Amino acid sequence: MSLRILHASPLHSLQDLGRFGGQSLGVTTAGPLDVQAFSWAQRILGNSPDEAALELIRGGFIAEFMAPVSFALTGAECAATLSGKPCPNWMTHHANRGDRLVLQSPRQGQITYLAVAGGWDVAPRFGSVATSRRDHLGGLHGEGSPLVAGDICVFRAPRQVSGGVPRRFIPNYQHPLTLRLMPGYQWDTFSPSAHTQLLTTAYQVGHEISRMGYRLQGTPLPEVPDAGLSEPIAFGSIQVPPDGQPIVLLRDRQSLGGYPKLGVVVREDIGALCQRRPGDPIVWELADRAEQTDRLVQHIDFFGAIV
Amino acid sequence: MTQASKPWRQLEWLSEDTLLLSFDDPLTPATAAMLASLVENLQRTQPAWLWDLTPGFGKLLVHYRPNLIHSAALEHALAEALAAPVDSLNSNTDPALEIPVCYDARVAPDLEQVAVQTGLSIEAVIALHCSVEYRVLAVGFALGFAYLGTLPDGLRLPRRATPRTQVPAGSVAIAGAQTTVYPTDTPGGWHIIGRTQQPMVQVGDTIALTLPLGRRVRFSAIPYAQFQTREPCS
Repeated sequence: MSLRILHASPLHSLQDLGRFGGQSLGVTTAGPLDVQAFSWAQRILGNSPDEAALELIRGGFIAEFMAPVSFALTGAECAATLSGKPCPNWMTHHANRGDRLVLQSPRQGQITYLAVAGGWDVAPRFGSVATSRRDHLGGLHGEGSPLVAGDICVFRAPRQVSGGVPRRFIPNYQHPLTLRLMPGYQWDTFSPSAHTQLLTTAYQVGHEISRMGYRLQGTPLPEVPDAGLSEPIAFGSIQVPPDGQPIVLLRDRQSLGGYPKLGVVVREDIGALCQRRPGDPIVWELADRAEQTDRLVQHIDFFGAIV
Repeated sequence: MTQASKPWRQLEWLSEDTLLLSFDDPLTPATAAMLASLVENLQRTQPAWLWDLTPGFGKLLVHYRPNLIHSAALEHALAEALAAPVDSLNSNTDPALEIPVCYDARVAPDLEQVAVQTGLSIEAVIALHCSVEYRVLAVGFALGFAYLGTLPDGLRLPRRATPRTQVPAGSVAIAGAQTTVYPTDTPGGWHIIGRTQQPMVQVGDTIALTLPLGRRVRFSAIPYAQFQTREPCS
C-alpha cells in the first residue's frame, strides 16, 4: 500500500500545513508554498485539511503505485500521465497497482501537489511531517531530507473517491500578478519616494527564489533604512536589504531578521507569487488588513484550516 | 505591568493572523525575563486561539486563529497573560547555568584578534567574558541560537567584515553587545573566542534548548586537556 518514487529532484519534499508551536525555539514552520493548491488537493480527496502532500517544484517526477488508491494533482500542470494516459490537475484520478505516474516540467506555474485519498502514513516530528531542511526535521524519514528515488510513500487508509475543483477556482499562473501588501513593520521609515516607486513601477520575479524567500527585481528602492535589531518575521513579510530589492519571506524563513520590512503580503497572494517564475511581471498594491482578515476567516471556514 | 492601561509600548496588527507587541528596553535582561514569562504563561494555558509565538528582542509576534477570537478579546487576553504572576516560572527561578568553555587558540580562531582589537590581553578577554551573568535576550536565526546579553563594554566589537561559511557547533562567539554559543554548524559572522562541548539542542520527544529565552548563564574557563576529555556534543 504505497507509492514508490522512481525519479525525484532535491526540490521535492513532503509537506503538511507546517510545524507550529516551536518558533520560540527558532524552529522553522515549513509547510506548503502554495497553500491554496495544497488545500484543494486535500479537499477534493475528502481528506482532513492537515494531511500531507508531496510538494513537487518544477516537475520532473516519476513514481509507481504499488496498490490502488485515488489521488489528485493540483497547482502547476506538468503534462502528467498515468500509465501513458493524460492525467489533468484539479480532479481526482484512480490508480491501480503497477500504474506509473509521470510529471514533465510544468507548462505554467512552478509547484504541483500530489495527495492521495486517506493520506500518507508518516510519523510526525513535533506535530508535523513538514520537511524542514534547515532544522533537519520532517519528511519521510523524519530528518528533513527531500524526496529521492527509492523512497516508499505509504498510504494510511487508501480509498476510492471522486471529485474536482470548480472551474472558477482554478488559477491561471500566467496572468500578471498584483501583489497586495498590508503596510507594517518599518513602512513609515521608508521615504514617500520609496512608497511611490514600489506602488507605481514594474517589478518582476528574480532569479534567487527558494522556499525561504522570493526575491523581486525592479528599480532599487531609494533611501533604504538601516538594519535594526532582529525582530520576529511573519509569513509573507517583505524585507528590503541594502540593495533596495524586496524579498518576500516564505515558509522556510528564519524566525528573526533585522533588515527593514515594508509589511506583509496578503495570504491569498503568497501562493500565487510562489507559482510565478523568474522574469514574470509583478505590480504592488496596498490592501486593507481588516478586509483581508475577514477573507482569511472565510477561507478557514471553507477549507477547515488556516490557509 | 500594572502601571498603565496598556502593558506594551505598541501593538501592531501585522497580517491576517499575526500581531506584533513591542516593549520598552529591548536589550535588557528584565525585558527578556518578562517576555519569557509571557511566552511560558501562554504556552502553559494554551488558549484555543493561540497558533504560535515568536519572541524577539523586546517584541512578541503572536500567531493567532482569527476565526476563534476578535481583536478586542485578543488584546484583553494578552494583557491578562502579561498581568499573571510570574514567580513560579522556570525562567525566573532557575539558577544561572554554568557553561564550561575552552578558550584555547586551537578552538578559538579569533581570540588573538579580539585581544588586539580591544587592546586587552588574551587573559583579560577571557576573564571579562567570564565576569558577568548573561540572560538569553532572544532565540532565533537558527534552531536554538541564543542571543546572550549583555557583554561587558570592553569586549564590544562589530561583526567580522567577512562571515565564515562554516562555524563549528559549540563555538562561543561575541559580536556587538552580545555573546552566543553556535548550536549547530552554520555560517556566521561573530568572533569565535572559545568552544564548549555542551550541546545546545536536545531533540527527542520534545525539543529542549540549553539556552531558552530568559535563561541566566555564566561562562567558566576550562583548560584544553579537560575540553578534549569531555564527551563531544552531537
